[in-house]
Amino acid sequence: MNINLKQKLLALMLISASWWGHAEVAVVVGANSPIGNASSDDVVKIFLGKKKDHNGTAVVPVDQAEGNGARDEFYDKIVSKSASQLKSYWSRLIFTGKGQAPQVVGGDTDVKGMVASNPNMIGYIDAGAVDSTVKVIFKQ
Amino acid sequence: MKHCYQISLCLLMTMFASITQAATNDALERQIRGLNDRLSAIESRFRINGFATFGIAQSDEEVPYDGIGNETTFRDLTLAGIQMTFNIDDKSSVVTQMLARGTEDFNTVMEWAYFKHNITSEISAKLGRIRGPYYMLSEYLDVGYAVPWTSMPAETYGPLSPFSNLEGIDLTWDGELGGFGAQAQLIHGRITGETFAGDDVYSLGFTLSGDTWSVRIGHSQSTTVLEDPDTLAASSAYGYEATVDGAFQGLGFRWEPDDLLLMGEYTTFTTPDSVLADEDAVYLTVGYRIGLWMPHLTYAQAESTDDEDRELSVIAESTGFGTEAALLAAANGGNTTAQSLVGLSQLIQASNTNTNRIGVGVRYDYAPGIAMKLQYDIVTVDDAAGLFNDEAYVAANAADDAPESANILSFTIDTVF
Repeated sequence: MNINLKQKLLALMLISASWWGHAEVAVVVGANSPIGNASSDDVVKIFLGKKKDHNGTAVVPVDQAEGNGARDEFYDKIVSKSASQLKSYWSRLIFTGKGQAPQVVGGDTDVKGMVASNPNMIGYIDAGAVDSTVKVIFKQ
Repeated sequence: MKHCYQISLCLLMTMFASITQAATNDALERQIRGLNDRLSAIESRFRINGFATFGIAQSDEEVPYDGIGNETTFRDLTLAGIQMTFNIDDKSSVVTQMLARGTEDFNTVMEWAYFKHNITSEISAKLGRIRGPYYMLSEYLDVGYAVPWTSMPAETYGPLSPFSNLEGIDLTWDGELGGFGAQAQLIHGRITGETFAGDDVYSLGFTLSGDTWSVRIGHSQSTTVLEDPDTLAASSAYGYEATVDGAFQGLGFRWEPDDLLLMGEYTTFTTPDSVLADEDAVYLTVGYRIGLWMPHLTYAQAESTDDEDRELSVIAESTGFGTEAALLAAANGGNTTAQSLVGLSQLIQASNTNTNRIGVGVRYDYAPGIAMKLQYDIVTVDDAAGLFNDEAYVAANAADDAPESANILSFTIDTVF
């Protein structure tokens, strides 16, 4: 009984921890990337295709696949666009030949892998997934 | 015995697997990374994007308005398109867009096929088959997902629809002006239409945009050579040239603060000394987003401004009958030339326009990339065919039964993928 309660508490803590984890997204580049710190405005512009370089360095955004917590969090809190609004926004650019939505690469691990091997790439991951392969340039 | 062999093989494999797991994991990770890199290289070189609309529409009026009559149509609003973008290098790309429209029997057309080169980070050039950027929404005319309505406002977008695509060059400057996004676009080319040739097409557009708004102003012109036999016959009967200098101006805006959407466009089209109708058109749409739903209201209006150029008196004078009364008297007296001139004039007068439309609709974003739309349009015309089918209108008019209004219900599923 006691153990059961402990387990339940532990499970609850884990769930809330994962909730808190979702609440923070870090915008990252490769650990050795020349891309420096960015403002929220820079990040939004880069991911909406309105800004193609940052302090003289070309930047290429990469997206997480739909359904990843970090993606929802990133677009909801930082870019302030719903999934449908975002789709409408990109369809207006794609089908005018004016731009392409960022490449989609999967989840946190994939993004880390991509940015670590490409100094121009910029991605976002769950803040809890940050490790030594990446450098945080913006945190919400 | 066989079982034993299988079990021991399994055991052996399990042991082998656990021993080499660490090494395999590393190798797998490397492999996945390699695959990812390769996929990303392919994706950055070649992209396919598609769009499609599937629609149903019906009017309560027999004479079709913008193609929609009192028989349910599943094809008029339906279309599917595929766009392919090949990035040859950082600066050059090839874009093709293929489209099949229900209104054109789903014959696939290469709408766009152009080479694009970024000359500088702000200036780009296109060469090939491109979209004429006459209107604010010209470049996504067919992408229903990008607009709130079940179809583009026909009162505004109808007149230049035969000119949608042209073969030519496009120079675009995309930069900043006083902290706002700015874009200037200049195109030049020609159009080889089925019933006309558009030579010397020029179009100049300027767009200024902020975070939640954009304003566009544009001017276009062309020298159009009429080739359609009926139009040519009418043209010569009226005493007009077969070559028409047309000019088109448009002013449009879009404002989208938070959940509100306000957009509109005013356009004016002039073709002096021709049977083609000069036309002013406007639409204004207001919408409000409530979660996944967006109810919206549209007012649209179109009016031809040179109806006097198509009056029967003009044709009577140019063909030597003198007055309208004399021409009508001759026609009634059995003069076949006079009769055919009266018929021609009626058909030409069917391009007179005086249309009002109120549209009430709702868009529901079912999922990212899929929207469903329902719209009800109340059309009223004032003694002019406008967007009603010309021949059907003339026939109905002859039977003293010309339509004065139409109520149209339409539903679409709009997708991008």
